[in-house]
Amino acid sequence: MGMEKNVSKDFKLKPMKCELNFLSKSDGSTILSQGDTVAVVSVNGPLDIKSTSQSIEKSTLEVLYCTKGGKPSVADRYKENVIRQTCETAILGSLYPRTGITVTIQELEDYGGLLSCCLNCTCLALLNSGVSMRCVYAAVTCAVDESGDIVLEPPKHQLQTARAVMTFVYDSREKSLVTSFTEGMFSEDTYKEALARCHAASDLIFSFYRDIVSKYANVI
Amino acid sequence: MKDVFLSNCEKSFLQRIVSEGHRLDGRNYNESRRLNISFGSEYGSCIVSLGETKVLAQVSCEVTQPKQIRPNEGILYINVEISPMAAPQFEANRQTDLTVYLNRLLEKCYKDSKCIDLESLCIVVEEKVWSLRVDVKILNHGGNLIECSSIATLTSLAHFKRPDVTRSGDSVIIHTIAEKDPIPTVLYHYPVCMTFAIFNNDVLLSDPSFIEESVCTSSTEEGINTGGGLLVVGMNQYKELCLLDLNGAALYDSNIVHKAIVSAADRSKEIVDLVKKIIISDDTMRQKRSKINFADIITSEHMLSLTQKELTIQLKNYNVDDMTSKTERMQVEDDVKSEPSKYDVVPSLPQTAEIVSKKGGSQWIEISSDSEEDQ
Repeated sequence: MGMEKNVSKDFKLKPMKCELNFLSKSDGSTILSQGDTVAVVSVNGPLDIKSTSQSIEKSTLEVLYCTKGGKPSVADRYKENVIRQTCETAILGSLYPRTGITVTIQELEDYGGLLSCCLNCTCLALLNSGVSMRCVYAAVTCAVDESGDIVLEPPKHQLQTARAVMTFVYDSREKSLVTSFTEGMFSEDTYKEALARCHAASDLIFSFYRDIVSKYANVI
Repeated sequence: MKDVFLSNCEKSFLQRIVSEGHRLDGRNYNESRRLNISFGSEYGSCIVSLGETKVLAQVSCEVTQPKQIRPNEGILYINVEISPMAAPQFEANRQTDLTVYLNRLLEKCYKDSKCIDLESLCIVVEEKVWSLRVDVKILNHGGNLIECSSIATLTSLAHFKRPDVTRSGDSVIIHTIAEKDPIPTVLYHYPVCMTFAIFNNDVLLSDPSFIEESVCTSSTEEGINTGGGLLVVGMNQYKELCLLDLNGAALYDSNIVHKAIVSAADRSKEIVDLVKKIIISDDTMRQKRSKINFADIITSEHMLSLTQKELTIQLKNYNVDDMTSKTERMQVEDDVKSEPSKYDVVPSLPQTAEIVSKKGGSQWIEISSDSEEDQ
């Protein structure tokens, strides 16, 4: 079976490249590329918002996802929702009542794994903005290909033929699952295996976060 | 969050240093910030940065029906969007005066100046034409949005290539890029909008920054206008004027417009030459099949950036787990089958199992009833 071949092999996550403070006007911003997929995220906040959308318990999180060209679609709103709910678990919103935090995501290139790239980029932008957070989070995408093998960070041509695409988000403290976003059909065992594999891969992304923060924290 | 207000000391300080011959960032009066253009992987996508101002432009095309009055011409549509990414004072999905103003200016500059050969976008008269859509997205508002978004629009239009089309009888075949080489857009001339900030009716600053723009269009605390304003000059590489727009106080000296036009003529030539040069070099890069991606704009030597090549992960420890889970799976699947279920788990391919609903309605009803759940 294809499984045994893959197991002995080392998996490679796509090369990651990021720059913090990419935009000067935002409170926090990051550009992140994972392989050929690129996204820019800006975070503004906590700031004053309309009294109708204020909450006395915690800050209101607003996530806006913009595609590269063309009109906004329902799929974008869906993505926004996933990202918003993930961010909400990570941000300590109760520290900033009656305020708003705006997260704007701009897609630049989509060559597979855009959702996980956007999520990771959002996390870095939140770190850059200095908003208090409970934990950081890391997102990993994997696909179940035609023969049933699990492929981590699949390229675009593999995504089109895949039976299922799964995106998992883990938090940094307990390494527990925060968000699971799946498309397609798969068995429960495949899901569990994908979960475990992505969990292992998420450690690499956390160490990437740690590297970038320690790199600039040394200078400060 | 509403508008950004400038303090009086900021205003008066800027007014004073400008009248003394200086600028806040140390530039000369007619010196522009650094212009940088980078392309994305698709045709017609680019990010233009002018100093800190960053604009993303993307051209897309689709086949539509032409307008009744112009049955043999394609359609050009320009859409400007300013999201909260540009600056915190902008609201999401909301048309501001600035958005409308920018949109109108770009339409005047690129549609009304007839720089694009719209007739070449026609496929079948009165039936099918190409409609080009330029999406301009402001990423960072560091002043002089007009010039930056105009360069972005021009570059993306000049860079864009539409798919080739063949007509066979009544049907129209649109070829993919892999099948036939795409066709570039024909531009008769390259117009660019340039902004000048007018201070005290006589000083002209080219490429004003955000604070210079806001100071020159604002009035003093007594409501007296200081004679400042923003002058937009649209000009092509042949030094032909395409657009003039004044924002702010009325001019009382027409010489200032002449001065602006003279300096715009040089600047437009510079910009258009750069745009042409960069498109040619991008084209040769693409012909060598080197990958061009927006990831290239991420600098590596910056203190706040980090590049990591291949991140390797060893999943060897899954060896044992996988084997056990595989054997377990067989048992699990057997178990599932033995239970009365409304679904059948059919092993189809390795690692996956398909869930197929069982035939026969009686079991369906049993499962969904409350008594079954209580057991």
